[in-house]
Amino acid sequence: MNLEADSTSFLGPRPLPETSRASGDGASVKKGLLGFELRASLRTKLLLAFFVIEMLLVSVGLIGLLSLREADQRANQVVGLQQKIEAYRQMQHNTLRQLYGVSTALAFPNETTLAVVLRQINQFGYDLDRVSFVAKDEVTLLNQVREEYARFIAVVSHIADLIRGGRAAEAKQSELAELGPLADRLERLTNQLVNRAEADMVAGIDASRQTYTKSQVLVAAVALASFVLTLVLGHAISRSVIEPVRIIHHGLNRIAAGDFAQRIEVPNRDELGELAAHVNSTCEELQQLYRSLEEASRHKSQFLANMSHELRTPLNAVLGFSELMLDGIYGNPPEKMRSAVERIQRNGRHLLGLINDVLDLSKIEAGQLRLSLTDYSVEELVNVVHTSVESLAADKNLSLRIAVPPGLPPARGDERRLAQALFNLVGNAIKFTDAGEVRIEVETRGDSYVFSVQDTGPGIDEADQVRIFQEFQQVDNSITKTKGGAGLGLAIVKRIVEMHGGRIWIESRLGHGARFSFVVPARLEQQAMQT
Amino acid sequence: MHTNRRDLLLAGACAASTALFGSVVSRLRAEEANPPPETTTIRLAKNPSICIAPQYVVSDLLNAEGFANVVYVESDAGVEQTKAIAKGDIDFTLHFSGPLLLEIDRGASVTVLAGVHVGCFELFAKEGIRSVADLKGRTVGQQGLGSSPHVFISAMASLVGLDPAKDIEWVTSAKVKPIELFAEGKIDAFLGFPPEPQRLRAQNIGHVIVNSAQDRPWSQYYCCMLAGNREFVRKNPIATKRVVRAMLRATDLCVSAPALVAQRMVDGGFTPRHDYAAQTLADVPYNRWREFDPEDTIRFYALRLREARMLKSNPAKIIADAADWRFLNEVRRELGS
Repeated sequence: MNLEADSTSFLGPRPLPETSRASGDGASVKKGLLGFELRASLRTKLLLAFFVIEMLLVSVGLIGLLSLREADQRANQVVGLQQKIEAYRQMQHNTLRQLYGVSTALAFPNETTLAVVLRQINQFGYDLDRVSFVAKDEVTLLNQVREEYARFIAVVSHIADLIRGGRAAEAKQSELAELGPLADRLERLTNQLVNRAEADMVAGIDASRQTYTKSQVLVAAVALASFVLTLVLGHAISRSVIEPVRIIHHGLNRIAAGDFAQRIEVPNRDELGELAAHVNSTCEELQQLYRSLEEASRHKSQFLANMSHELRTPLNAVLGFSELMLDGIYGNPPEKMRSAVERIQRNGRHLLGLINDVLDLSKIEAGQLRLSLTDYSVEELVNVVHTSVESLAADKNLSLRIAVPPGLPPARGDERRLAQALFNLVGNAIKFTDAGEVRIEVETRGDSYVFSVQDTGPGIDEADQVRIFQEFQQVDNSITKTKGGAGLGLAIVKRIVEMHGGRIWIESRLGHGARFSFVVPARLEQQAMQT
Repeated sequence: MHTNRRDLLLAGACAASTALFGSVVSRLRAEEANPPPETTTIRLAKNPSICIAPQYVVSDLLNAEGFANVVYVESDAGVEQTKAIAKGDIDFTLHFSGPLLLEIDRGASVTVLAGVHVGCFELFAKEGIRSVADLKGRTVGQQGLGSSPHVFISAMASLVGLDPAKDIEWVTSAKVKPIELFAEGKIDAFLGFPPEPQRLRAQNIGHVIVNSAQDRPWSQYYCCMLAGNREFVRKNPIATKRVVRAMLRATDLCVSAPALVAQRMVDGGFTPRHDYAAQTLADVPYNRWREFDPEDTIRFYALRLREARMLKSNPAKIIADAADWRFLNEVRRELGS
């Protein structure tokens, strides 16, 4: 029986490859004792759990109702027994009244006292009918009572006749010899009936008490069982639902972090198991996609590196020969030609810079760029950069200042790449600053150096501050359009800083200049770099 | 030797009774053709109460029933006697219904076989105490909790709404008998069993507020019943029936030949005072065993003792567990009811 066989997954009808089922599913496909697979869906599990709890609650209620019904029956029984006792006592009372009536008739023999005696006889008939009605189960004793009463009534009638006949002495004799013992016997018989009724009542009370105790124990046991079962079911459901959700959550976090190798292990054979299987399946697809992308990226980088190399070779030839031409190796070129050759050389250098940037970025992406760690002087590094860009700043009448604390200890890192990063930042600052100054600063922060380049340029809008570090991204405004550039410089700086284990950031407001800073470890060791 | 009219009458009565006794024994010998009892030894209890007179004159009748060896085992008249039966130290005894039920309720292995007589106990009180209800806050003597006086007075008190445990101040004395305390005026009330009531009346001490031979409801129920060890009864049904028959015949003798019975009790060393024994036989109605229902006695006392919170079982359970009227019914048929 497959409980899910006819239900569509809540994740949709997408078929799953056999291998992409939730891990452990294959192992957990357990055959039941009857040889079929029992796969309860989450809904079925929850329904079953609530059904069980519901049944327990219903059973507690039923027990309570049964106990109430039994208590009601007992109460009715007690009422019936009370009625019996009352009827028996009435009979005893009337017997005593009859004895009293006979004694009175003997003491005062007249029609009035005799009438009382005879009327009392009728009362016995009523008493017997009443007792017969309320004590149908006491057949034997009631028959004895009837017989004794028949004798009693006969003796009373006989005594009444004797009194009426003026035979008082005989009547007295009959009273003493017959009526008294008969009344005694009747009293004992009715006492027996009363005692039986009382004993039945006591037995009923005992039974009620036992029933109550049993009900208490039963209700307590069922309630306890319900409580335990509810806890167990709650725990089971929690384990069945929350734990898989937690596992899936962690799995998704790993995937988000780029770890596609781990599989999500959810043994459930319900919707959550199916969800985990879907996630695993998606993860595999993502992993394949990621591999493809990596492969494509590597090919692209390789292509770019190759192309850059292939482009640089003829370009260097162009630049070299044009420079030779300008140097007059082939004779002084005419003025018109010189202007054209100078333009060739200027554009060629620009193209070479672009190609170098593309080549660097390609190498970084292709993982081919390796840092060359050496000890270097921060002050010298800054001076080299300053020297390289000094003429550019002078061309634009910009003040180029440096602020490096004296006596900095030697640093360790890839000096050339760090100089390249700093050069890019300073170059950008000069490029986009039309007036004012560009300032290069270095400061120590713990075991790190913070390099900053501050300008008085147009500044960068906050919205653009994030994307300017991405490849081929520039601030989209008229200034950048006029200044040109491929949008690779900051991306390369960011990669170089990150390869050193550092980070780069910008502080800028539109119209108020910009300050680019990066922090790198003062001494980068091989181990840290690998980390 | 001076002989008075009373001695002559007693001698005459004894002679007549002996003849009667002899005839009963002869008739029993004729019945011996029935299967003999499973055992020839019977152990009966012996205690200071002489209302159980049938038990003290039953030995000849038991001999005639085939029991060669009738042994009397000394015992008190309270709960200990029931325990002795349950343990098998005593096979049968006539015992007060109240203490019997108390031990049966506690699981004593005892079977009640018949009711024997009614009305043996009397409740004496000082002047100023007119009823059981007047016992509230008064001192009442007893030999111990669960003793026969304690059980009967508790039943009486609970019937009139007293809590015997709280409303009555029990004076328990192991050294001095309650009757002596009462005679000395140290306690307010005292429940006695023959020969104690006879002695108090003779000495004109106190007055009776309950006479169980005459006062209802106590006069309607057996005070003494025949009980046996349950295992003995189960294993020896023939012997049991013969014991029941002998005991009830002895009870009949108490009615038909009281003088002889009194004399035998004195001769047998069961009581030292012939006059008290004779008075007891005159006071206690031994002629009711054919009429009264023993089961109803158990039911009545079980209800009263339960009211007094001295009993846990209900009457139906006690009757089901510890009553066996088969032998009584057979004997009633044989001896005529």
